[in-house]
Amino acid sequence: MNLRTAAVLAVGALGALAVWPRFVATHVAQASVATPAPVVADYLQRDRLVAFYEDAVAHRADQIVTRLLAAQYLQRFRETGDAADLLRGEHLARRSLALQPRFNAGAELTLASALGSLHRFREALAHAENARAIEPGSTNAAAHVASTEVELGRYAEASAALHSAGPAYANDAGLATATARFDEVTGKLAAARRSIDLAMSATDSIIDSPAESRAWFHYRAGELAWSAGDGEVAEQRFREALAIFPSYQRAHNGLARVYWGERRWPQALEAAQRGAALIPLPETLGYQADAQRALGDASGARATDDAIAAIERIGNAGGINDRALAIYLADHRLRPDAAVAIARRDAVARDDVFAEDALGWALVRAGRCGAARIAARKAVRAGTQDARLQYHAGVIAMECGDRREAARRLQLALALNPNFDPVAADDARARVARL
Amino acid sequence: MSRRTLQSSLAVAAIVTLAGVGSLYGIRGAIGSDHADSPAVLARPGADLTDVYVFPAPHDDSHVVVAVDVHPLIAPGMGGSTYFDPGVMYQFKIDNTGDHVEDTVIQFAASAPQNGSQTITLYGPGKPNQTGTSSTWIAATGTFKYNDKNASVKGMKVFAGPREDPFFFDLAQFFKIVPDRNFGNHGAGKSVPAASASSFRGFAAGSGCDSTPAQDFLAANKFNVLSLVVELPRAMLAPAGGAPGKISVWASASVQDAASPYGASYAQIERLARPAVKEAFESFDNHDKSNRSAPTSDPALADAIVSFTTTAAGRSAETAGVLKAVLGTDEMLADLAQTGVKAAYLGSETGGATGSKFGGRGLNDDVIDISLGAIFGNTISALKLAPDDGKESKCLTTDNVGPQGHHFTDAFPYLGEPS
Repeated sequence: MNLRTAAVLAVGALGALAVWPRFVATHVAQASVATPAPVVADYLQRDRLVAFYEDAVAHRADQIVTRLLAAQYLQRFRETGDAADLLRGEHLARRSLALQPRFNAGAELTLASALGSLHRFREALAHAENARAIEPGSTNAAAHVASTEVELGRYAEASAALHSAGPAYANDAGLATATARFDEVTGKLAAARRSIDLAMSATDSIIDSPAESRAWFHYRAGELAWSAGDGEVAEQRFREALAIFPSYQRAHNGLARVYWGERRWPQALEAAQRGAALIPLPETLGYQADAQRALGDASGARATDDAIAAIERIGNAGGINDRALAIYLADHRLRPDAAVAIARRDAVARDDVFAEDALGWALVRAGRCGAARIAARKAVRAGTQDARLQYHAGVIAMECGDRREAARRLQLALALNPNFDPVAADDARARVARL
Repeated sequence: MSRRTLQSSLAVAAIVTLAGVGSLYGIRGAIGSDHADSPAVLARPGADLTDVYVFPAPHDDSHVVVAVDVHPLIAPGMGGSTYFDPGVMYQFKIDNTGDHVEDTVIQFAASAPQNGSQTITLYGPGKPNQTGTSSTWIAATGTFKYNDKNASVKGMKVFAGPREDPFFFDLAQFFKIVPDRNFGNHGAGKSVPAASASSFRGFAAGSGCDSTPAQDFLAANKFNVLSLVVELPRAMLAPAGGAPGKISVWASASVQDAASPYGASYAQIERLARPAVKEAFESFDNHDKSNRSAPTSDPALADAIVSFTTTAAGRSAETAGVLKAVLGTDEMLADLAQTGVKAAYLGSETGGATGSKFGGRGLNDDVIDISLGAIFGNTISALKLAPDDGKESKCLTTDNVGPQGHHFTDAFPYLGEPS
């Protein structure tokens, strides 16, 4: 970490401490929420911890310190978005398994985590299953298996994994998180929000929870609030995430999405620029480009579009940004064949409802109604309460001549979140009026 | 060596990616004699008890020292910025009537950190408001500051702060040796899956055992813990109106429990007394249940001792029975009537065979070798507690690691300075 970065993080940490009392006051006002612990800016120590474990591995390598170093690399990736740390984490987790090939559940889960983040979900699942075989009653392993199954679109298997964990203790944040994701995808959005709120509260009550982990739960709560059309709570949760971990790209991205959806263009631009300055994800840059266009900055928008194209060429190792790229291209009617190819590649990596949603959307934009219809049917198969997914399915149905299905899906999208997309929401209303 | 096993320490459970940047929720954990021994404590290292010690005060034989370590794997240089969990009730529980139910408790609460310090509130020693796994605060005795080696409260020396982890053990090799403990995989017609190693290290060349150098994992890496230490008159732990005698001690960590029948109450999520007992015998899957139970209602330990000893360790039923009788109720026994002697792990249970009848556990006690000798060696038969079954595993009877790498001090709080 260079001095400038350290200074920025330190200032951010001080800022977080300054706003903490206000956050605690609002947070504990909710029913059945544990008192949040003070935030410890552990991320400021990350490079130091990595250096310590690197030295341990260099001089006293065993399966334990090797795995602990892998875990530190993964945590640093979560904090900075540096994908090179994922590769380092994968390498070290494999080395731990080489040093202790049997009954090394910790390394199996660490490796599964790295592989999942690299979007190598099938490999990740195999290692999560290895961990579960070693510790059949581990809620941790079961949660990992369930989450990976969800990403692969294997919802019956995910459900079975969650049930195999048995009754969890109330503050098992890992299991609650996996359950929330499963419920979110399978049409139980309210239950998902309850689960993630529970996990958020449990994690906030623990002083040793990494700041990034705590911020992640607030970010997820914000995401689910946005899915439910609750922009106010979504904004609040994203801001809480930033109070906990000031350089949290995901929270900036979430804020940009809220402002983008609500057409608050100056705020959308600012949030997107802050997020993109940390990690230039295609989704974040997409909000930035749209805000720039809405504010009359055509040349700025073109430059941002160019940045997205550059990421597609040089910043998409392993297809990690495929889904967002496909959606962006399809939304903006850019290079339709490329959008379809990218979406197909994503569906190969993880054939979940969102992969089929992106593929269907890219296909219909490419004028391939029949194939789009097939993908859309797969996308809605789990009853996911996601406005964008439902909108895409509605447009596809309409383009394919199924007016009744189109009306149902478009109305559902608007009911879930009338601000889900500044362009698409207007389009949905116009289409409904025409049907 | 000491403590529990730790099969999945540091289980980083990131719950996979939701889009774009990858995944993300990590549950972390750690390691020790009881380091990182269940999902609950993996997620909450501030409630992860690693070792319990009970020994006569070195410079005042009328006093006794009780200590518990928490928060394993604090890296060198990080001790002063690692804090006790303000959401946790830390307790010593002491039975002085022989019924395995606590008669006296010593409780600690930590404030939120401020300016690099915490205020620690000491409650007791005193009679608990209720026994078992649900607890409430008894009357406060006084407060002291985090990391103050000269603190005292009403005549008791007290310490709460970072120290060098005193546990010594070839932990890395232990994990390789630990076999499958999913006992459902064992039994007639089934073969126990092989582990990654079958011998501790550090044996003489030509011994038939592993002769590569053994390593004290915690000392080699200079890991620290947070320690709670109290030195108090033995009489304060005696039964009401009685003289100091035999006591059983265990430590617990509890968190706020909104569902408790006792109001502002704490539910136990971690319990620890003897080192490495749960870790050695129990499937990791059962640790959480054990941790949430009282010593007398542990749902898994006694059966696990028999299962492990007769299957994975291959010992006789008689040997397993002795181990179950001695270790099946997880408490640290100490005889406060024994004066002029040092602590000796399992000494009270074995009539002084391990060094003295005081029992308890001293910082230098090689609890791992004592335990390995009983499980894999001839300790049980040598004490004539069971016939020699001829099934000793000599390569597992010692980890060949001693306390040499640690820096215990002659002055309170006796555990070494943190790295």
